[in-house]
Amino acid sequence: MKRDLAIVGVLWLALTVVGEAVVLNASLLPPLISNKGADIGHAFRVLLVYAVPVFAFVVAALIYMVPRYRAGAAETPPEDGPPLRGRGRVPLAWFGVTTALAVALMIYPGLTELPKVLGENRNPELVVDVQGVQWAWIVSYPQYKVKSMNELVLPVDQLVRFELTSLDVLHGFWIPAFGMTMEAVPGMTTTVQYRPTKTGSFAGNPLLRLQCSELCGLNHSTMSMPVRVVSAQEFQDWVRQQAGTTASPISTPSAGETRLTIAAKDTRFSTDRLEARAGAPVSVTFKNEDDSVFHDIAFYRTADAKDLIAKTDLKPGPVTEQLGLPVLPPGTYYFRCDVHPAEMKGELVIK
Amino acid sequence: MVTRAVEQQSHGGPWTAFLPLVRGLVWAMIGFAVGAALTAVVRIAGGRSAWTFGLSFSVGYVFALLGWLLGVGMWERWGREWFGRPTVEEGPTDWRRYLAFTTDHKVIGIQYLATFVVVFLLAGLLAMLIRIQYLTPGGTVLDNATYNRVMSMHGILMIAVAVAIFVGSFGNYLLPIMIGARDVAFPRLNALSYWLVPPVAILLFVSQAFGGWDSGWTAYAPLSVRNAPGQILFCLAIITFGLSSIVGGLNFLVTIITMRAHGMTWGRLPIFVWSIFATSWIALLFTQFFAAAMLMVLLDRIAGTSFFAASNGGSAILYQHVFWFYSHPAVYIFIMPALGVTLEVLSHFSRKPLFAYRWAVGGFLGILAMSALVWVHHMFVTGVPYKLEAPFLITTEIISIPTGLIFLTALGTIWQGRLWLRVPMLFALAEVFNFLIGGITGIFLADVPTDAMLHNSYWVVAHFHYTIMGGEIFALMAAIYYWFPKMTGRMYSERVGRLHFALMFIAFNGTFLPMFWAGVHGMNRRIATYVPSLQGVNDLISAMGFLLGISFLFFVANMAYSLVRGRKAVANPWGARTLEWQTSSPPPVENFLVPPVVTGHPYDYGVPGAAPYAAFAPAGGSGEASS
Repeated sequence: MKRDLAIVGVLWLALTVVGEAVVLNASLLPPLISNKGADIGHAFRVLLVYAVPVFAFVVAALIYMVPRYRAGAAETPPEDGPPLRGRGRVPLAWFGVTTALAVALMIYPGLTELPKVLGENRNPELVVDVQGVQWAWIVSYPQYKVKSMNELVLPVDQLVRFELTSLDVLHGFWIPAFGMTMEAVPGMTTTVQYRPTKTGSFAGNPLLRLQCSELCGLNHSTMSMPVRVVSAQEFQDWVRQQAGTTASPISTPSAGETRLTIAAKDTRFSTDRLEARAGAPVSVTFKNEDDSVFHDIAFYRTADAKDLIAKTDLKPGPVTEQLGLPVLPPGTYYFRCDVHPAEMKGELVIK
Repeated sequence: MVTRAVEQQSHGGPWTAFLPLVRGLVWAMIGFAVGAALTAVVRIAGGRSAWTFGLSFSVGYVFALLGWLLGVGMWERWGREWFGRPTVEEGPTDWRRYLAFTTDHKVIGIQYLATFVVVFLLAGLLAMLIRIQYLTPGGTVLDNATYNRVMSMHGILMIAVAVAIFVGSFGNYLLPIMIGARDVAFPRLNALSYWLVPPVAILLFVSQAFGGWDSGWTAYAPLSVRNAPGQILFCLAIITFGLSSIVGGLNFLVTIITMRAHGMTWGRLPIFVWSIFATSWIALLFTQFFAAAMLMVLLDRIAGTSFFAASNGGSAILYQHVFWFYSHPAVYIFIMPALGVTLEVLSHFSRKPLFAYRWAVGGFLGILAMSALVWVHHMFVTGVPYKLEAPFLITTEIISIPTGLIFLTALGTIWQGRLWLRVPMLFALAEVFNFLIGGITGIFLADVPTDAMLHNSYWVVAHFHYTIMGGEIFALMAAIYYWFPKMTGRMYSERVGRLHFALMFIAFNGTFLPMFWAGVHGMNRRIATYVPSLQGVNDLISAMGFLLGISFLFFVANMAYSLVRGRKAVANPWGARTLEWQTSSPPPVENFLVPPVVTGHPYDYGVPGAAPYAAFAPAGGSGEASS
C-alpha cells in the first residue's frame, strides 16, 4: 500500500509539472487587445495553475488504480477488498485541503481581480452609448454627436466607457477581442469600460466584432457589428466624416412636392421600389405597423449604405413618421431599415 | 363492482391497453372545450371577442389537464371515492399496466424510464440536427427561426430528462425496495406525478404549431413575453412539469422518513437513497420558483401585468432572479442522484465499503444547504448591483467543498479495491473523470473575473454538458446497466455494453472538450451561424457528435435485444449487499415476500464478522438470515 501511494504520488507530481509547464507557457487564449483582456487573461491563467494539480491528482489516481486493481470482468464478483471505511484522519485532511483551495482561489484571483474587471473608478476619455435592438446595434458618441449602425470605431489607448441599454429584449454586449461581456437590459443602463490596446479591424481579426451574446430572438446569431480600433488621429477623421449624418430632417408635407407612402409590417417593407419626379422635394410617409418592433427608413446614395441622405428616428410601432428628402438629381437611390438591412431594403428612383 | 371492472380490463383484446389513453385524450378535449367556452362566456359578457389565444388556451388547458388526469384513470382509481363511491383498485396486471394509471411504484418507475429514454433520444436527434447545421459557418440546413426553435426544444427536453429520469425512474422503482418498503408513502400521488408528464410533452410538441418558442429553455423575459404564442404553451408545460416534480419530491421525502424497514437507521441508508433524499428537498422547496417565473410570463402576456416590462415599472432582471432561484438548485437535482448511483456502483464493484460514508452524506446535505445561495452566479454580468458580485462568488466557491467530498469517497472506495470492470463500473469510473472536468471548468464560471469573459460563450455549453451529460447521463447509463437485471429479470449483453461504453466515452470527450477552446476563441451560445474562422473546430465537434449519436444505437440495440432475448438474471447477479438484490429479479408486487429487518451496513464488503445487511424473518418469528 505504501508502494501504491508512492507511485500515485510520483505520477501526480509528474503530471502536475507537465501540466503547469503547459499552463504557464502556452498561449491559452487568443490575443485579448484591451486592458480588461489582460486582467482576465491573468485570472484565467491563475485558475488553471490551481486546476492542474487537482485534475492531475484525480487523473493520476484513476489511471494508476484502474489497471492496478482491476479484477477482470468475470461472471461472478471477485473476492472482497480490504475493509477501509475511511473513518480516520484522511477525510478530515481532504476536507481541510479542499477548503483551503476553495478559499485561496476565492480570494486570488476571485476577489482581488474582481474590482479590476468590473470596477469603474476613472474618468473615461470617451463615452459611447450603445443601444441593442432586435437585431442590430446602434452606437452613438454623445461627445461628437455621431451615430453609427454600420461599425463601431474606437481610438486606441483611450479609456472608453460603454453605456448600454436595450430598446426591446436582453442583448449581450460582447467584443470577443476585448475579453469581457456585459448585458444590455431594457429600462436600465449598464456600463463596461475598456481601453483598447492595439489597432485592428474585423477584416483582420474575427474577434473584433460587437456580437450579441444573449439570445434575443430570430436573428440573434447575425446581430453583429464590425469593430475597428484606430489611432487617435484616424478616429478624429472618422468622427468628422460622420458628423452631420445623424440629422433627421422632419418636415410636414407642403404643396409642390412628391408624396410617397411606405409601410413596414412583419419586418418587410410594403414595397421595394419608390419612384418620384426629379426637380421637386420628396416627402415620405413611413408607417411602422409592427407592434413594439423598431424600424426606421433610411435613404442612402449608395447601395452599401455609406452616404446617408436622410432617415427617420428609430421607433417601435405602431407609429407614423414624416421624412423630407431634399431635391435629388435623377438617378437610383437606396433605402433600407437600419435594424433589418437584410430583410428590409429597396430602391428610390428619381426620374 | 370492483371485480367486474378488473375482469373486464384483464380479458379484453390488446387494444384495450389504449383505452385509458384514448379516454384521457377525449376527456381532455372536452375539458378544453369547457374551459374555452367559459372564457368565451365571460369575455362576451364583458363585450369582448369570444376567443383570444393566450387566455382562452390557458383556461382551456387547465380544464383539459383535469380531464386528461381523470380520464386516464384518476377518476376510477381515486376520484370516485370523493363522491362516496368505491374505487376500482387495480387494472390489468400484464404489459397493459404500463399504459394505465397504476399505483405500483415499480410500474411507475418503468413508465418514467421508458418515457424519458424516448425523450432523451429525441432530444439527441435534435442535437444531431444542430451539429449538421454547424458543418458550415452559414448554417447547413436550418434558417434562423428553425434553428432557434430546434435549439430551444433540445434544451428543454434534455432539461426535463435531467430533472426527472433519475428521481422518476430509479427513485420510484428502487427507492422503496432499497429501504425495505412495500411502496411509496402516497402511491396515488405517485401515479399523478407520472401522468402529469405526457401533457408536458404534448404541449411542447403542439407548441410548434403555434410558432414554437425561440427563447431557449431559460425563456428569459422580455423576449419570452413578446415572441410567438408557442411560448404560452411552454409556460403551461413547465408549470405542469413543476407540479409533477413537487408532488414527487414530497412523496419521496415522506417515504424515506417514515417507511424505512426495521433496523434501517439513517446511518444504514444506501448512499443512493441519501442522494434522492437531498434531491427531493430541492424539488419540493424550489420548483415552485420556476413555475412562478412561468406564471409571471404568462400573466404579462395574457393579463396585462408588467412584471418584466421596464416601460411599465417591471424589471427584466427580476425574471432571472426568480428563474435561477430554482434553476440553479435544479442542477443538483440533476447531479446528486447521479453521484449517488456512481458511489453505489463504485462500492459494489470495488468490493469495498463506501469510503468515508458519513462524509459523503455530509457532502450531499452540504450541497443541499448551499444550493439556494449561489443563483446570482448566472447573472454576474447581467447588470446586478456590484455589491452582489463578491458574496455570490464566495458562496459559489464554497459549494465546491461538499462536492469535493464526493470525489474523496469515490477515490477512497476504488483505492485498494478489487475492481470488477463490468459495464456499470466502467460508466461509473468515466463519470468520475467527466464530472471532474465539469467541476473544474465550473470554477472559471464561478470566479467573476473569468466569468466576465466566458459568460454565454461555448465554454458554458461545454461545462454544463460535462456536468449533465458527462456526469448525469454517464451515471444514468451505469444505473441502467446496473439495475437492468433487477428491473427486467434478464441480463444485458456485456460485449455490446462495453462497445457502447468505449464509443460513448471517446465520442463524448471528443465532442465537448473542443467546445472549451471554441468558447474562448469567440464562439457564443445559441447561434444559427458563426464566424468562418471557427469552422475547423466546429467540424471536428460535429464529427465526434455524430459518433456520440451512433454510440446510442448500440445502447438501444442492447436494451431491445436483451429485454426479449437476454439471459435470465438471477436475484443477485452482482453479489451486492443492498436490499434490492435480496429479492427476486424482477421483484414481486409486494417487493419482499417477507419484510426485511436491517441488521448491518450496506457496504460492509470484506469487513471481518460483519453482520449481513438484512435478515428476512417471518412475521413474529426470529427466523434466519437469507441474504
